[in-house]
Amino acid sequence: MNKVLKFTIYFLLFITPFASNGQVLMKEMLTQDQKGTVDKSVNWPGKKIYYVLKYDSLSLYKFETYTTNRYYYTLSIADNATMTNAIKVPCMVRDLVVKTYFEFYFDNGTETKTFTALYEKYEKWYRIKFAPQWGCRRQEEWRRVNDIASYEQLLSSIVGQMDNNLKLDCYAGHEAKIPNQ
Amino acid sequence: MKKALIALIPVAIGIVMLSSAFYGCKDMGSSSGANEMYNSKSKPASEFTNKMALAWIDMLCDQVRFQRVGPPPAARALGYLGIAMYQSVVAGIPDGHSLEGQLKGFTVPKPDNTLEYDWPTVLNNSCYIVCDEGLARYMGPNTPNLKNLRDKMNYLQDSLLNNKDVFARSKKYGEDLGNAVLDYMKTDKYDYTRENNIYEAPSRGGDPSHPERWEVTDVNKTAYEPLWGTLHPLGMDTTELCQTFPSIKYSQEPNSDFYKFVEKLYGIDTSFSEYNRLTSLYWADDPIETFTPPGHWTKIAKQQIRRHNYNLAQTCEFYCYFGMAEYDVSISAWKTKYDINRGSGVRPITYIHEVMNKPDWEPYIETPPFPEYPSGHSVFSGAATEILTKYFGDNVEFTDSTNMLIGLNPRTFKSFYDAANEAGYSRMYGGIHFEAAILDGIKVGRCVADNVMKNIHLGSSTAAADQAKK
Repeated sequence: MNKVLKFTIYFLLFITPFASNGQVLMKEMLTQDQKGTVDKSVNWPGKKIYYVLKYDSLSLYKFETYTTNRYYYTLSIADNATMTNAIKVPCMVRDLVVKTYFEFYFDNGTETKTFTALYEKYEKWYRIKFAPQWGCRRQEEWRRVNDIASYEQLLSSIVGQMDNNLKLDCYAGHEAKIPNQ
Repeated sequence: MKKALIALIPVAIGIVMLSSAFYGCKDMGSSSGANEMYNSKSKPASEFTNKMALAWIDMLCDQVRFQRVGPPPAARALGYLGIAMYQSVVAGIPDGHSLEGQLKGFTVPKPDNTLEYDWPTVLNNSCYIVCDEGLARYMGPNTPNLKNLRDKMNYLQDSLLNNKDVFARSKKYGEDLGNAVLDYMKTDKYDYTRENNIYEAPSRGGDPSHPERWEVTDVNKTAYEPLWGTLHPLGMDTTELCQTFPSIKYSQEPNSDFYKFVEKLYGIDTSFSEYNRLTSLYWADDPIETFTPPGHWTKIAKQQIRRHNYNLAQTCEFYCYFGMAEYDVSISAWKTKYDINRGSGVRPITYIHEVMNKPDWEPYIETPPFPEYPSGHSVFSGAATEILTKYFGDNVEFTDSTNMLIGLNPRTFKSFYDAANEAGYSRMYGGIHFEAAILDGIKVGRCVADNVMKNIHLGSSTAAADQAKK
């Protein structure tokens, strides 16, 4: 009996890394705060970017027997670890079966536009679609990124693309309201 | 001699009348209004609620989502489910018309007119067999969910009826009918398309080169359902009947109409409004995440059926037309997609990369792996709205909440056509279709649905079916 138990434990220990290998984005991560850094900022030359994705709340969407969650966050981006003068961007996430949609609402004081990052859970790529306000565009090189290995890598990469393509100070002091749409 | 000729006139008139009656019957089953299959021993189908029919419609939509079924196979399953539903209750509709004789090669068992049947039980057991086999390619037979629904409903009907003989007879008749539909399903060449779906896209290179031709835009994907257009339609005369071809020719000239089409799409994309974004998301109806376009429209239809408090007979009749139209339009559209690919079919992403020299451009919606013209969403939407409008009228304002399923807010439309237009244009906003494929696609859908309703005569449990007979 002991041998069977030992074998089962060893087997479980052996397969656990493989079993979880398929998932970058675990359900429980969606209700937790996330933070990270991005090296070599374009908006703050010579500095690092610090970001925090703070979990705020969730709302339930129901259709017949199905329920889907909308997760709400605030993304703060700054050039310092204490997050002083951070740019704040509301965010909403819809976590579906194979796709996760990250929507960031960028407001420049006159208009709010939605930045979408679409993550494909099984093929582990993400891509961005965003048509920023004209004065807030730096360049338009939204890359599709493959082989995402962790949630942190995914978020850092998204923030990195924001930094590369947007004039972030355009959005300073204009925290958007999450539109009811 | 003259007298003899005059005497022959009534005889000749009689012969003409008899022969026209004979051919009329052949075309429409029992077209005179009286249903030869009608079983007066049983409670009419119009006196039952539609609960059983809607349970199977919901089950089919659920399975389409869970089993990752794409839009054309979803439409096929819906088509045969509609046939099974209607044929299960036709003997309970006084002026119903059996589909036998109307669908080529479809033969069905008949209920014994001296005995009583319970139509919901017949429907439950026939739909189980058709759903199981209709979707078996994706999930294997005897799927627990389907079996559980059948068993639960059988248990309920058995208890309600409190007559073992009627229940057993109805169950057996439903199973026989389900198997008859299965035999009929085997005649549409679906198996052939599973076994022979190797597709080699016509070359775009060479001399002369053919940049107008479609190629897969994602290297990890292969051409989707290249032989779907070879399947046999259900209610349409021929697959070619409603086919259209692009009126605007492919061109790389900046002053050409084709280039202007692409510029329009590209312009929308670069200034992408919230309306554009939300509309393209709302109607994306991706397989796995949603019920796909035919399933989405099935849910919109279900809402109307509930609003109008349709009974079992009316519900089955509606979904019979609806399912046939969705399946037939999928065949028509996919035939055009791969036929036209000899002449056009290129996707916006290919053109924008190659001709407009924007190699990094990506559409908001993923480009699916099949040729561009006509838009699949548009044909499904066009067919669905044609049937919905015939049944429930034009300018029917409604709010659709189907995609709360994926966390999106409900949307309100002024009419079914308003919704179909939006569904079609969502593909241009999403960057995967040109406008011609959308406008023509909706027309194709309406044409196919109209043709199905003209060819197939079901009964007169609704005003729409009455209208269709004229």
